[in-house]
Amino acid sequence: MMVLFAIPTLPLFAALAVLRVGRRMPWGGGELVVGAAALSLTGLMLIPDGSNLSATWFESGGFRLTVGLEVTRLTWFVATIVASIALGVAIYSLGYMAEKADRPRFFAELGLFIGAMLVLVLSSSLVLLFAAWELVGLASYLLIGFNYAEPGAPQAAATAFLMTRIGDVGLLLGWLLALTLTSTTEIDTLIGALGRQQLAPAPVALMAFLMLAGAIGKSAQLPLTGWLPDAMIGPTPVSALLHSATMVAAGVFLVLRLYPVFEVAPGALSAVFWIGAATALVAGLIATGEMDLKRVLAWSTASQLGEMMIALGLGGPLAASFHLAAHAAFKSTLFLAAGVVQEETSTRTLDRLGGLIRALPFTGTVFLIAGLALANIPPLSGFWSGEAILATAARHSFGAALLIVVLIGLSGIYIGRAASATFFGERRPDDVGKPAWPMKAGMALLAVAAAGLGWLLSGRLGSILSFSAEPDLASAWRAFAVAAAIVGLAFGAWRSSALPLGVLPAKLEAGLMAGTELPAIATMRIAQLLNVVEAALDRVARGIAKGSSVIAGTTQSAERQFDAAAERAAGGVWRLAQNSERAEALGFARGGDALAIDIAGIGERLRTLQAGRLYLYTLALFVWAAAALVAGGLMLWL
Amino acid sequence: MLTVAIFLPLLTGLGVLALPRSRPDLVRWTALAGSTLTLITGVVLWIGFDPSGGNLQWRMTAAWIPAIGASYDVAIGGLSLALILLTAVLLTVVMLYVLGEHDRAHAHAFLFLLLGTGLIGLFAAQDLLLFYLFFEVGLVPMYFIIGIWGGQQRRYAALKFFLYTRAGSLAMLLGFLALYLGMEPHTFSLPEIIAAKPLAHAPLASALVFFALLIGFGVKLPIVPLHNWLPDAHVEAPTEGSVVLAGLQLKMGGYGLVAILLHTLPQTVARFGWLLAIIALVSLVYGALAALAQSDMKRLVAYTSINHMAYVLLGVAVAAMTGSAAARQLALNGAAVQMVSHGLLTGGMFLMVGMLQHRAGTREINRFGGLIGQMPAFSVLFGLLAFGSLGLPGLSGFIAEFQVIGAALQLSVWVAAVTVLGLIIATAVYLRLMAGVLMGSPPPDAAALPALSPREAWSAGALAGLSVLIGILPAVLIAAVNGTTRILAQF
Repeated sequence: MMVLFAIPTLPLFAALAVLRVGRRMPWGGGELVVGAAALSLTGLMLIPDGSNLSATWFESGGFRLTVGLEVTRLTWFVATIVASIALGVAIYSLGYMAEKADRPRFFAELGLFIGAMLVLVLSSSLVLLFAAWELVGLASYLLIGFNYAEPGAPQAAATAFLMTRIGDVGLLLGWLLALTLTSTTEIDTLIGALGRQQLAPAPVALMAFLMLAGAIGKSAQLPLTGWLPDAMIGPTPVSALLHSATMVAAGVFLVLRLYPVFEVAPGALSAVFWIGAATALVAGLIATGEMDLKRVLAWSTASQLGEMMIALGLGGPLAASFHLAAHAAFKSTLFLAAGVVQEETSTRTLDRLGGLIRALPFTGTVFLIAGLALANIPPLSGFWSGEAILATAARHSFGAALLIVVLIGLSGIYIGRAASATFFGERRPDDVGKPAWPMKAGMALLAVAAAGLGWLLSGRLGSILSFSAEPDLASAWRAFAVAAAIVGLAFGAWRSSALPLGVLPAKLEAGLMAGTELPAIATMRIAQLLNVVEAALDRVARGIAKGSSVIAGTTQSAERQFDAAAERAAGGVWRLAQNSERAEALGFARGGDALAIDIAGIGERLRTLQAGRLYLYTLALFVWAAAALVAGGLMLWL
Repeated sequence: MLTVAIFLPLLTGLGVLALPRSRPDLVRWTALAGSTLTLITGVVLWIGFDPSGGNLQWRMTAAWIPAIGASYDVAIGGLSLALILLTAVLLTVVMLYVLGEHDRAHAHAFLFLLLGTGLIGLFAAQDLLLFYLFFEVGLVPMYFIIGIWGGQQRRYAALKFFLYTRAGSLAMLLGFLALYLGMEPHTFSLPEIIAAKPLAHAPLASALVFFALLIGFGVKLPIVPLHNWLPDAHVEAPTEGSVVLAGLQLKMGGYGLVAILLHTLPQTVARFGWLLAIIALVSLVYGALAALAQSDMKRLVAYTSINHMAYVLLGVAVAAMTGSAAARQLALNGAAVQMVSHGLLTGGMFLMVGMLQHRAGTREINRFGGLIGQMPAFSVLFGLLAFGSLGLPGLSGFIAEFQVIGAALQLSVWVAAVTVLGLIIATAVYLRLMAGVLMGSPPPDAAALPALSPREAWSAGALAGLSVLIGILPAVLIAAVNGTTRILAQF
């Protein structure tokens, strides 16, 4: 129990500790976060399956909100991925941050993220999952905006938070719907009720769609993709951990965690497929034409997450989990290597890079291993997980399998192009430095996983997770996929100095980003319009006040009619002012003080200048008095 | 004890007036001591409060005007208790915040303490005439606070505020009179009126009373289109005035809606439930959108109040319409928590804006930037309050909003959908605010801003801390409020 509690809370406590003592530590507090991540990982190795903790958070109107953590096969598996990648990235960050300002803030935010992400994964309660989901979003916001003075960073952080939040409210409504259906927030209770077919299909389908919205936002699926490339302005370890390996995979995890909900809602499951397919294709295409190394990797992430969604939509949760693990390993490795490139050359634009394999042999090797893994080359991890997805697709239909092969070809093109433009060809940047040893250590750790994880898990994953195993893959498909990868890689490498697929990808990107901005701009326009309306209302109020005082002065007949009442109302305010004045005078025992004069002045103004407005309000009061008389009369009569 | 809590601020205020004119510092410390004592009294009330003991605890009655059936009758339920504690907390925080400001300190302290009595009395009153009296006592000092210590347009703002709320309170009084006349024998006693529900069988009369009370409380809440006084009043009021205005005076409307309107006319509220829901949804979206377009931080925060308080009205509307007692209670718990939460978070936001105005002499967002580097403690508090306001889990706003949205979901998924649309726009408002103020770089000609003083840090920190407490351990608040809402949910 204690171990389970400690797994996610250690990084959180480490974050707090970093804020207090980080400044005085040699690595700026990073060592605390590394230690916490290592301990969390150790805890996960030791903890028995089925451990759980649960408590009632509070009750409201018969609804019981619980919080709890639970080790199931799935939560253990994903938590282990999270803790492992976090450990590697945290070690790397020791070196990455060594020379930078504000280190304690960075490591505190990193610790917050790791803890919140582990809570998200291990939670047995929807409300706790949602809370962690939002806190992960907060950590992402803080980390994207870490260099807050950099132009574009505040905007990118805000966009990321806002766009994911659009999805998040779907998840919010989804779990609230589950709460109203089951009166609790326990995931097991929900899944149990589904299993016993106690819930009506319509609300469950609605719930699945709402939860899917959350998954779309977090996993940067269409139409909420645009924030992810912009998030690349954040420090590169953040891109590696949050925006490729773990946080953005939370959407996929959510569908996995609630797979029984989706299974009984076939419409939602096919939506998962179509959204995943569209994202994978569009983002993959855009990646081929991108000139910024990190943005290539970001679009690739959206595309790869789309592939996981495809697998989920086609009924292959095991394949999706496999790819989640493999992708986490190879993509975080790619990002860490890209971070070294940027740190040592101060650029990440592809046409300013080149030939870096000689200056950065270690980094280049690591990048190539992870890149080949991404491109589905055996025996690296991506090959095995890609094969699992392909098998799921092939079981479903020829078209789906073909789509996967096309995606593999696309991934070959963009990663082949990026690798070739960065590490081969003409040597561009001069005086390239060497990465610090912690950066190398972090990269090495993750590169080993990127290389070996597929082989390690292949065939065994079915016994680790409780999802049904995927079917065997026909060897023709396997050969076809590897051929597509090799052709893609070769093509991408060959066209490394140009746009491999023409201008279409760039146009797609521009269109997608514009489509992202459009609703924001439209909302802002409406808001500004409302502001104009508000200002106009205020002007009208002032105008009426002025105008009516003129009317009140000239239109004697109307004036006479309301004269007495206006006098009374104004007189009342005047008397009030006088009374206050008297009270003040008494209180201070000395007359003629500034306050009294002030109040008298207000009273005077009320009596003279504002008489016109009072007149209007008096009119309103008369309407009310009349209404009350009618009401009273009716009551007597009834 | 309840009577002590009600009149302690007033007594302190009178005592303050007797202090020598040359000692404004003494005035400030006395006022702080008086409000702290009030807070302690409130905590005593809380300790002696039985969460399952109903709505008439700590009751005290005395004859007042027996001829017309009005009496001094005060008692508290869970909702009243929560709001009384909120009043005492905010009063103390405000008195802490103004330590060291010596501009006509006697009158300033007296007016704020008088307000405190008006508010605590209002939340405890069990007699409609007494309620009305306290309503006015809570209203009039604010007029002077805005008019004397306010900004450039203070007179216009004060007058607008006064006339709007005055018209509202008059409508409310007429509604009360109708309820009074509907009782046989005539009485203003709230518990008796609630028990008898006098206008239940007079559809037209009950509708008129409903609208009279809706306008009375709606002006204060405020609801669109009765909100026009609010931006001016908030912007022109001094910082501490805005804190009390937003943090407490808006709650007069919310409390009236829940404890009086819904309680005395449940069927009528249900009859007009969709109207209320639509007003709430319009206010929710309108307030957020209007806030999005503001460049003046104070005006921005003022508009977000319309958005936040609309959850209270939505909770009432949902509670009146839904058939399930559980959902009803969920909605009302949400509304109650929202009142407390908004008091803490928006009160805190006004303090933060006031600190900036005090330093830089402006409230324009684009006159600031990159405060994370210059004022780290300020930035942490500002960020905490902003994220709390946009409903981040772990702070009180989330607890309030998800309960209202959850209950609304039982009514209609579309109501919930519009609500979350407002939530997204509100998120954008605060993100824009933080991006402009905390992040980026300061404008080239901006002066360096000094870090927070302990008094500033403690006053805003207390509010943020309480919001976190409620966000993490909502049972602290819900347990007390549950008692009231359970009774309300059984109408």
